[in-house]
Amino acid sequence: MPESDASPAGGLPAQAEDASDAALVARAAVGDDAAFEALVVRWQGRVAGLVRHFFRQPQDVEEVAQEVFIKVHRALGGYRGEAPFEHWLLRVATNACRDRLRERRRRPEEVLSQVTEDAQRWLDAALEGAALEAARTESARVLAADLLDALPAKDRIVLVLMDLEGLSSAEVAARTGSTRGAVKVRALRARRALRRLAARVEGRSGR
Amino acid sequence: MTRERKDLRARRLLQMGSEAGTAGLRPGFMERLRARMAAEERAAAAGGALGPAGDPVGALAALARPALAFALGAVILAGAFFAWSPQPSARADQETLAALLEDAPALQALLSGEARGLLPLDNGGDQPSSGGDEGDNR
Repeated sequence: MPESDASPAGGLPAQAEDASDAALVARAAVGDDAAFEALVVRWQGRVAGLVRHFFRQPQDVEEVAQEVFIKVHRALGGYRGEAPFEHWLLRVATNACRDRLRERRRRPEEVLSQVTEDAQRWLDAALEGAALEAARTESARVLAADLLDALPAKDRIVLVLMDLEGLSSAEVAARTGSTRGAVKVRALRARRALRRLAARVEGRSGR
Repeated sequence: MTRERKDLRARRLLQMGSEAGTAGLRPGFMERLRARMAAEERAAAAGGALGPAGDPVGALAALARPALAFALGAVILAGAFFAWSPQPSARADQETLAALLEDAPALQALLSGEARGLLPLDNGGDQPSSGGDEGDNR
């Protein structure tokens, strides 16, 4: 995107802020950079919130969020307005997360072999509901996030969207381009895999 | 471990590992995004200007695709030609074999049990030996 002088640093023209998503998309599709920037400013927090469910490192979140808006910018001409812009945007974001998760998938053995026994013990305690001090909680979170990388990308997407974002199976199907039945089957399988992962921590923590 | 406890542990694992922090994107996201888009546009333009030399894999793919398409077309044409061309029937084969049996004296001799006339037999002594034997005895 070429440099735009339509958007002053730290803010947007009032008309861009007030415009509807559909109007901004229509303007951005014909090359109005200020309209595209207004869309980015309006939705970057929502996109980042979704991406942060999957990636802990700030640079990963930043990169994926950028990829999302780059894809959106390229595809603006194809947006027909049949669904709200938010749905379309979050679908693009979900696909971007899925692609990145596929790239970084690891085996649970590999994750567990690289962490300390203490971290495993803390995660095990946290999974049992024990209160931990901040540093131990953070260590347990890092290990938990690494372990979740062992799940197939589609499984993790379905679990996060259903259990953390609170979407129904029909909404997840719409978000992922799947069917409701397929999402239900996927969720069943993903929960089983998640239980196995949680059990592995207990088995290795030496309790 | 009970099923409920397993479910609870799994839910906590998902929450802990997927917990979205409160921090948002760093300030200046728009500027960094704009810079990345500009860089990608420049790279795309440079790739286009360089042509195949700038993208050897793409150039190879560009060469291989038509060749593969041509090969596939040739295979399909050959298959269609084979299917379309008249195949010799089993009946024609039988007729050819019958004609061969009728016309070949050697085969007729075999079938009629007069094979003796065809083979050089030692015990009868009525078959002249070849001159090569004499040469060997010398």
